[in-house]
Order: sequence, then C-alpha cells, then structure tokens
Amino acid sequence: MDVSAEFVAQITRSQRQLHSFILSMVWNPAEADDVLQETNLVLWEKAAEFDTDRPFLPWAIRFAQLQALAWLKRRRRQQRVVFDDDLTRLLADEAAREEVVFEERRQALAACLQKLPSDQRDLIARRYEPAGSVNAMAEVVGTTPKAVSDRLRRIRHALLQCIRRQLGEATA
Amino acid sequence: MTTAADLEGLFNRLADGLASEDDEQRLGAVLRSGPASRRAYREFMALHSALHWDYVAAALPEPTAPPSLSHPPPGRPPRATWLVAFGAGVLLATAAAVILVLLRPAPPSTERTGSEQSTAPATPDAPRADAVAALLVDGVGSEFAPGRGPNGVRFGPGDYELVKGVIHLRFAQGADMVLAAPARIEVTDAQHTRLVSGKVRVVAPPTAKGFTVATRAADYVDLGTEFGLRVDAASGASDLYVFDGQVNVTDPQSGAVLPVTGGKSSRAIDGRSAPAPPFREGDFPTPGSIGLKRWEEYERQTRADRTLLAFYPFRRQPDESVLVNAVEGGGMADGRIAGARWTTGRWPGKDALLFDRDTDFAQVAIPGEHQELTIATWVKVERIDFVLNAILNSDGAEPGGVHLQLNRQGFVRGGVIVEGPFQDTLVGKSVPLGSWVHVASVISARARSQQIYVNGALARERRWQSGVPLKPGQCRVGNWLPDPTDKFRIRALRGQIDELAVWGRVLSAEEVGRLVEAGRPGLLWSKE
Repeated sequence: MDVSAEFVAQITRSQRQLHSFILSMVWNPAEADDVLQETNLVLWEKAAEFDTDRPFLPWAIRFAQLQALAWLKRRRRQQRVVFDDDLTRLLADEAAREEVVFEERRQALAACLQKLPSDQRDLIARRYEPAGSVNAMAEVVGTTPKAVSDRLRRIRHALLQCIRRQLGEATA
Repeated sequence: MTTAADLEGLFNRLADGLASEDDEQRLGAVLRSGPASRRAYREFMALHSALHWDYVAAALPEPTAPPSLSHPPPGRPPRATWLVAFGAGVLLATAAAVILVLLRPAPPSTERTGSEQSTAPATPDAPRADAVAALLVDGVGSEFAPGRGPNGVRFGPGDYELVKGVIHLRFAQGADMVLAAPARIEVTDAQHTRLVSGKVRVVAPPTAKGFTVATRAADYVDLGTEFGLRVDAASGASDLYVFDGQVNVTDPQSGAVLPVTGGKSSRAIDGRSAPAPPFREGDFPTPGSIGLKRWEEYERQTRADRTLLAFYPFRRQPDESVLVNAVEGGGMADGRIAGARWTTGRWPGKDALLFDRDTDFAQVAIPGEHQELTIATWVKVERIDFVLNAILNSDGAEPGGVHLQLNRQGFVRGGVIVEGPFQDTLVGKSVPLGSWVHVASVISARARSQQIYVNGALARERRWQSGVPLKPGQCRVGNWLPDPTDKFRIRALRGQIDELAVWGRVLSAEEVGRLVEAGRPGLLWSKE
C-alpha cells in the first residue's frame, strides 16, 4: 500500500476534528472513538483515491458522516430520527469549513483549563476519565446525576465563555 | 424562544446521557433552525470531544513502543493505545508507525444505550474486575496456560489459552462456544471474541445474533446459527464451516462481506477467500459431547473399582432387551428390559431407559447375602402418579429385600425389609421433577442404618433394631413386583434412568459427592 507522508500527516492532523464531528452525532465520546477508528480504516483503504490538490478534511469528514450514520443504523439508535442525510451533510459541510478556528479554539481551551479552580478541574477530570459518567459520580458523592450534570454545565459554560474571550469574540 | 442557556442545557443533557426523547426531538428542530444554533452545537461538541480526548489521554500511560499487531494484554484494548497515540501526538514520526496503528485489529464496538452510566463499565476501556462476558458451562480434562485461565467459571474480558481438554462457554447474550485444545481466544465482551488460534464451535440463538468471532483473516458475524471455525496458527488461515443458518465473513480492511450459508464452507487467508479443506466429523466438538466424554472417563475409572458388584451404563445394545452390566466378576449378571424403551440420557450420545407405562421395568438380580450395599443411580422423574414410585425395589416383600422409591411428595424413601420398628429421619429435600438427579442409597446391616443422598446431600436416614442380612435378590428397576397383600401395588416410575451402580460396601458421603460431580449433566447444573 503506497501511502504518502502527506496523507499520513493529514489523517493525523484531522483526528480531533473528525472525533468532534462524529461526537456531534453519537454524543458518547467512547462510542465516537469506535466510529473514528472505523472511519480511519476506511480512509486508509481509500488513500489512493485522495486527490492531494484538494483539502483533506472535507474529503475525510464525508466518510466520517457515512460511518456515523451506518453506526447509528447498526445500533438502532434514536439519533437516526434527528440526523437524516440532509442535516448530517449540513453539519459535515459546516464543520469542514472551520478547520482553522477549530484548532484556535482547542489551543484556547488549554489555557482556559489552567484558569479553572482546582475543584472544577477535578470534576472535569472525573467526568472524562475512562468510564467516567455523571451517574457514577453521583453515586460516589450521594447526589443525583442531574445535580452533577448541572455542575458540569456551569463549568462547560465557563470554559466556552473563556474560549470566546481568548479569541476576542463577543460573548453571548 | 430558545435562549443560549436553554441550548446549553439541552447540549449538556445529551453529553451526559440524561437527554429525554423530547430533548432529542428538540435537537433536530434546533439544528435545522439556523446556522447560529448549529455553530453553538458544534462548539459545545468540540469542547466535549476535547475534554474527553485530553483527559482520556492523560489518564492512560503512554505506550513505550509502537503498537504492534500482537495481542494486547487483557483490559488494555487497542483503542486505548490508539487514542493515546493520536491524542498525545506520538508515534507519528514515520508512515510505518501509522500503518501499524491503522491496521490494528479494530476492537468491536460495544453495544451502548443512550445512558453512559448504564453502559460505561462495559466499554472496552475499563473492564470491571467483576465483569463477566461468559461462563464455563462444562469441560473435560481442561487445563489453561499459566495466567491465561478463567476466574473460577467466569470469563471476563481478557486472554485465554486452553492447552488441554475441551470447554464449553456460554456468553452473556446466549451464544455457546465449544473450544478444543490447543486454542487461544481473546474475550472482549459478551458478543465479541477473537480466535487467535485453534478451533471453536459456535451456536448462537436469536438473542446472540451478531455474535462475532474475529480472526487474523476476517470477522465472522453470526446471524443466529451454528458454525465451526478453525485458525491455523502458522499460516493464519481461517476455515469456516457453517452447519446451519448464515455467517457473514467480513474483511476488516475493505469491509467486504461474504455471506456463507448452511452446509457451505470458506477459507480466508491473506485478505482473500479460498476453498476450505473438506470437513471432518469430530473436528468441532458439540456442547453435549463434553459431558459424554467426561462420563466415559468416569465410567472407565469406576469400573476398575473392585468393590463394585455391578455397573449398568445403560448403553443400548443390538438386542435392546439387554441391560448390560459392565463389571465382570462382581457376581451380578446383565439385566433384562421389559417394556421400558431406549431414549436419550444426560447428554446426546448417552442412552437412557424411559419408564412411562405401568408395566415398564428392567429386571436385575443382586444375588447373595450382604452386610453392606450402596445403590446409586441417575434418574429424571417426569411425574409422580402413585403413592409410592419405585426406582429399584426387590420383588415382593421378603425380609432382607431392599427398596428405593419416591413418595407422592417426591421424597426418596426405602430401606431394608425388617421385622420390628424403624425410625426415619427426614433431613433433606425432595427430588425435583424434570431434571437429572443423583440418588444413592447406602445400607449397612451391620450398623442397622441407611442413608439416602439426593445430589450428594443427605436426604433421609433410617435406623432399625433387628439384625437381618441384605438379600435384594431379583429387583425391578423403575417398578415393583408387588406383594399380593400390599395396598400400594402399582409403583411404576414415570421418568428416565441412565446409570445404575451397585457396590458391596458402604460409600462415604465424600464418595457419593464425587459421583455427583463426575456425572453432573453440566457445570451449570444445579444440585438444588
């Protein structure tokens, strides 16, 4: 299999964006990992068809879109009702146009995480550690999943606000 | 009007697995309402993704070497390393490293529901210590490589290597897998297993549709069927033989699917398919063959016991009226079958006699006088029709005759016909209907006592005063030749018997327990 170094670099660079796009359809990050891996295998298979003169992400995200839809169908997931072909394509097209800003936001997030109070960082860490979930966290501290989710919502809101400030965007 | 706060609340519920159906419906409307909503959604999901990416990567140790195509250790599935590889930005210096990463066997996706909590422990990332993907149902002569065996009968996600014997696993969603040594498997979860080498037979009921066995060459997706699969460790070739139903052979690289249906076979090697070698009977042991094999081993060992007077293995002969005694020199002859018909016993291939008419029985003779006797049998009672229901009763009611029978409530009773009073102590449970049960009667004229064991547990004890030697003489199995004066003259058994052994000594409770263990229909069979 003749795969150019350029292709390798492209597929590597696009991993986070592909994951983010897939996650917007499957919602569960670990499940998005699975779909991303399936997508990577397909991309690898299709490497020879990739036109190096064209942007990589719009080409790759199309396969992520197909894999995510196929995955939802296999899993008989409710999201199929939400994500029909038209909406999925719209989300994919818009995501593919935001390559630069996506990377800027990611870097801003790193700075914003540093600014979080340590207890909030701990909460985020426990939520996103492998197998972490609001239900598991609620059990540990003896509260409801909704109460944990509400705390997370406030932290996520703070992070989103911080990212906007970092990028000089107007706050909502 | 939907505010930004409303949207964030909705997105959060989706991310945390708390969204209702209404929320999901609403999301569709929101995303179709305009680019601003979609942008907010994209930004939120990018944050959700980035936090997962960063914290999963941070929580996992970085690999010290490029991932290889070799087997990952249990509990460390490929995806974890894969994520670290990309998340931490390592391993990407050369195309070769990426080729290894990309071509790693894809871990099967775990079925998840919308709630992350309900499924989180099942994710391959974090197999819980007590996660059980399959249970050991049965086995014969099985030995595992050090550190590659199950936890008792529990098979969690991990690597297993069977070096001797045959085992039968039942996966949590119902798929049965029979593994013959030498074989190595990697269990991922209840629906996904990798066959590294060796051969398996898979029987998947509808509940296990989609049960997948992956090999180096292909993924085999069971659509509710029965098949045999063999992986040659040297060449990597996978040979599939579909006995019934359909198996989809999927090329993990291209995604190409080759359906193989009942009676057909297929070989996968180096990414292409080829004709499989001819199927040989016995290549793929069946679940039932394990119990039978275990029983045959037990029979061989038991027959060597010099204290046995008789061992009737209930093996059908060309002359179907003969009940063969496999022990020579014990002083007991073959039995004679009258009415009772041959049927299937504890396992396929094991014969049994069916007693379901008032006139059905098998005649055996236990000649001579004895101070001690043990009579043990495997019986499956279908129904209790009479006040007393004979398992083995001496003809008539002569002193020294022995009885072993069930009463209307299913309690085993009996003993020796003696003069004078006797005391029965009821201590155990009754015989369950419709399942195989081991019943043993241990009688000592010397101690003037009898113990009856049901599935190895003491069920009744009898003591008497008068000294009479044991003289069973002519006996009927599954019936009784009545004493003309008895008021309960019909004692016909309704059920099956597939083994009968008679010792000229008392067996200890431990010995009876070992008989139960050796002859149990399966490892999941309950003594209760």
